[in-house]
Amino acid sequence: MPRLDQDQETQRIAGSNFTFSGTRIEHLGATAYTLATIAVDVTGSTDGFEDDLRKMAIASVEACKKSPLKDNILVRLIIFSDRFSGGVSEIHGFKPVLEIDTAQYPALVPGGMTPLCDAAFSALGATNTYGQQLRDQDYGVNGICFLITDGGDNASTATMEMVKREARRSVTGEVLESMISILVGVNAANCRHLLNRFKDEAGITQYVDAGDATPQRLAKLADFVSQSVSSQAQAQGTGGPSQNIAATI
Amino acid sequence: MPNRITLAGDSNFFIGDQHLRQGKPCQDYTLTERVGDFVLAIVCDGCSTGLKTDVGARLWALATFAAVRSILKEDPRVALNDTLTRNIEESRWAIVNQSKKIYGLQFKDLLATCGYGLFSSTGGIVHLVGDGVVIEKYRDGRVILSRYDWEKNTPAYPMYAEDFYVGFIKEHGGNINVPRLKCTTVSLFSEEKKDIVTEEIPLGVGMVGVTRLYDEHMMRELECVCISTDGITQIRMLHEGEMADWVWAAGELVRLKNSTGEFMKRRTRGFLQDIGKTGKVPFDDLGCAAVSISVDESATEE
Repeated sequence: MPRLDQDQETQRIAGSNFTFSGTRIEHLGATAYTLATIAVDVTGSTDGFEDDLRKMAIASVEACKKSPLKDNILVRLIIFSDRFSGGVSEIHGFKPVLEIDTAQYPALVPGGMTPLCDAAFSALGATNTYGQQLRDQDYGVNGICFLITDGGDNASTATMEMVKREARRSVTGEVLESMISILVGVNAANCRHLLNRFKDEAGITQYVDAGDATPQRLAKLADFVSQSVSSQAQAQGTGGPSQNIAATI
Repeated sequence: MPNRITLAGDSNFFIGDQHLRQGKPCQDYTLTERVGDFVLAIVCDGCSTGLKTDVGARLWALATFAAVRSILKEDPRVALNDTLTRNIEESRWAIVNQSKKIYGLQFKDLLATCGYGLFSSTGGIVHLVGDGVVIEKYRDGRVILSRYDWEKNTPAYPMYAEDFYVGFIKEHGGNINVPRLKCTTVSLFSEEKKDIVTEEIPLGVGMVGVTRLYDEHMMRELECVCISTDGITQIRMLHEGEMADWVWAAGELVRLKNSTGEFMKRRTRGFLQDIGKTGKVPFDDLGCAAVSISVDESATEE
């Protein structure tokens, strides 16, 4: 049973049964934060490279700890499969990156179908909800979400409309100063067109093809994730519109 | 047993539109530090017509901090009164003088106002040489704003003590009994109810600094004390130049959403964003330092 974290508070994304957790705002001392969400596919088709996916998540978070703006980064890690209630299981909510103990990350157990809409809704919706609360408390806030998947959506409870709504909300500048959402295809050569269509329909910022799910490729994906988070953290406060990140994985 | 009082300090300073356009540096500087059981908040505003007064403002702030630290090291429970302010003045003067020689600074580099607040759970003191605004927010919702303005916009600076204020007194007409410093106190009880009181302060009194004292009872009633440079009285529409109401602007500084960590940096950031939406900018540099006072209902003092 996971240890209760008194610093974390669980809340609901409005208009849904999806929940997320985040550090209690009164425990946050900085002036501004980048909310980074990493959503990792653990459906049946990831069997065989689930360990490398776990290592990728660990490497991403550990690299974020080296960012010059590490004190201003909050990371949320979720895994998705229709085995989970609501399609999503939260490994941890929005937490200052320096407080994350990646040694506690559980082994990933592949299985189930792909609730990509659920993952996207949870990632974007939680970022919008928590981001709004931070903004109301005078914090500067921007966001970045990574949806890492090897297949298209086929088992969500959240609808595409719900995802679109949260994606739109995240880029108007009213809730977050800026937001970048990245759909990452791993081992997804066969469904690249599907994922591109998903990205367009949902209003996700960009699609990146990470290639095959080899340890080397996933290590490069970890670099991409951490560098993108660091870039977004540095963009915090510039007030510019959401920009694409040049993806070379 | 009374409930425990917890103090936190934070500050922020940023360049105004005028200096930004002129290519000048920000001449306001602020500092907050915990010193023993006290929280110290300092704001300094360099004279725009001086020389390297951005350096001067920093030097006065750091010298004040060093002076307070040294005094509290000798007497951790020092009484908050005029003796303390004189001792701080003496100590920081020695530091500034020495620094002036070491760094080859001139008189005109060191022309800066200096306001500081020193608070513990049992009391506080605010001392201001120059101009600026002191804002007190109370738990019952009252906000009391005290704005200090000098005639001819020629404020006192601690540096004028170098010639024993001879030049400054002459500039202000030569008579130390004539009021040259005005304190306008606006007490806000609610949206509708407001009191305004004006106090005229003689030159001889104002030039060495004004003091505000807070006893233990007041500390339990206060939520926050903020000292601001006069930049808060110069929030203007960017193009038309129309000035915003200083009472509103100063009140915004203590509309704290929370008091953890960098709370003043967040508040001033939020303030700048809010005024930006209506086309307003801080015309002058702005520096503010605040001490927030929390009463912990679940804990009592030892």
